[in-house]
Amino acid sequence: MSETMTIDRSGRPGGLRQLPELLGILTVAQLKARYRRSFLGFLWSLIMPLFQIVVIGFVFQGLLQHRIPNYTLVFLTALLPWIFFSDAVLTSCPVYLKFRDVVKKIYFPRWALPLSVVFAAAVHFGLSMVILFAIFVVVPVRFTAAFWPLIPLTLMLTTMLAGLSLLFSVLHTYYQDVEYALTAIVRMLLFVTPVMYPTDQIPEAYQYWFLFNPLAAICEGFRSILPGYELPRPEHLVCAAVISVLCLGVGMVVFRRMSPQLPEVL
Amino acid sequence: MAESAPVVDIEEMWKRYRRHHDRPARLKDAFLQRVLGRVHQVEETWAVQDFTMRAQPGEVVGLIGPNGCGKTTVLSIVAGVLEPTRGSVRVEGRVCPMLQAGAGFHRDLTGLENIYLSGAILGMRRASIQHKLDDIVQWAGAERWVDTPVRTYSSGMLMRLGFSVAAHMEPDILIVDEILATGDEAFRAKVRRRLRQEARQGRIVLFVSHYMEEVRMLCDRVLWMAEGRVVREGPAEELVEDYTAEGRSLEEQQGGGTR
Repeated sequence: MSETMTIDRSGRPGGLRQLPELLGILTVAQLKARYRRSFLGFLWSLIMPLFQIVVIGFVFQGLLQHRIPNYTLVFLTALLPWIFFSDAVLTSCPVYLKFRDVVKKIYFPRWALPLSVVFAAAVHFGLSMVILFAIFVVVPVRFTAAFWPLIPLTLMLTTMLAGLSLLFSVLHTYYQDVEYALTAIVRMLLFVTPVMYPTDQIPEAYQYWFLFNPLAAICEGFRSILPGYELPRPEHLVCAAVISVLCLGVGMVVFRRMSPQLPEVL
Repeated sequence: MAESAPVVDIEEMWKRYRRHHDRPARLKDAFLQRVLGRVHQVEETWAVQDFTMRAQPGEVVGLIGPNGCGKTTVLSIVAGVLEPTRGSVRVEGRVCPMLQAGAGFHRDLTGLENIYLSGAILGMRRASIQHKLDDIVQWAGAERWVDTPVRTYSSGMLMRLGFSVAAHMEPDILIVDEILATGDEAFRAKVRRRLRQEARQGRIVLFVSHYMEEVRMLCDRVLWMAEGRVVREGPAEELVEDYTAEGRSLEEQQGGGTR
């Protein structure tokens, strides 16, 4: 028997203009829900990086005797985009399981869920950048005045994360060990990305290839607001941009193929 | 109210579920299956078979039948959550499923925040949620507790608020799937009045319940389903009577069925 199927849903809710609102409300809900039951609330997202800085700063500066001037700032500028990355990737995994009841019952643009996770992480990131700039004002450190590269770098990172969140959120719904695997991978990535150390600390022979890691190029790019650091070479940035767009493309394709079955899998 | 009348027109619709007996829930299993060439068993079940239904604007259509007979699947397809395997489905108008108590709510957010959240998921604009906020709260009788987190609500409170949000969406097609079970009699009567009123305004209401008394009071027409098929169709009064008579024994035969 041939499997014919015609579906005509002329009146699906939510015009195009409703979508940004849906995204906004979902993002705010994620942000609120995350800290609702904690005393320090949003402050945690600032305490965590500071805590990391103290510990790692002590290890690198104190124990290993690395002499990197202004290590705290060098570390912090790269740590913030890194936290954005790991936060968005890891919290987007279980998002469909969390909103299981809704996904099973209501038709709505399902991609809005992982994207709202990325946006919530982006809000955190934005706020922590504000803190970073506040530190710049207080700490008497000369910094390069050109901040504009931060905008394309942030866009690249967000694009990459949008794709990855689409990809991992559906994959995780099918195979629930995606989150475990990612936790391990993200932790590993932290060491091959110049977050705790700047690229100029690694042997020169490797430096060039090292920055083809898109995250490395982005993290180093963030450092370019510090004196003595420059934007990675154009080819590194192009590579990061291409991989970001590629992530988005792969994410969208996989999402398209796998998301119609979500309500049945959940 | 939409300019054009809502349509729910389903013809010879079939829905197949693949029940994966050992669907790889972990990557390891998926990998092993591929490497060892082990085929995992897929059991196919036709949850809905040859289903035809046409609902007129202003009609309250009931679906009755034992657990696992495909009622919820039909409603999910109308809602656009599931795709049919075969057949034609024409749904015109905004569909609004009324959810089981608290589904679509985030437990750590307050009732008020959840009104926005579930309103937006149901396709409402922010401005119109804001506009109807007082009505929604009042209709649910939730004035005293909208500002507390939803996790502290009783199931009855959750249901009231959930229903109220959905009822204020002004959808063209309402789907009510066994959600009133936790409501007290006064609230259920209120909901029935509301649903009748919605129907009178030209909307379509699809109603599933195991309370035959309620089906009798509310529905114009009833489809009686068993094992994925429509076994009878007709006026509520008549079918409810026969179903109740047969129901007890049928229920026992089918006992333990899922979904």
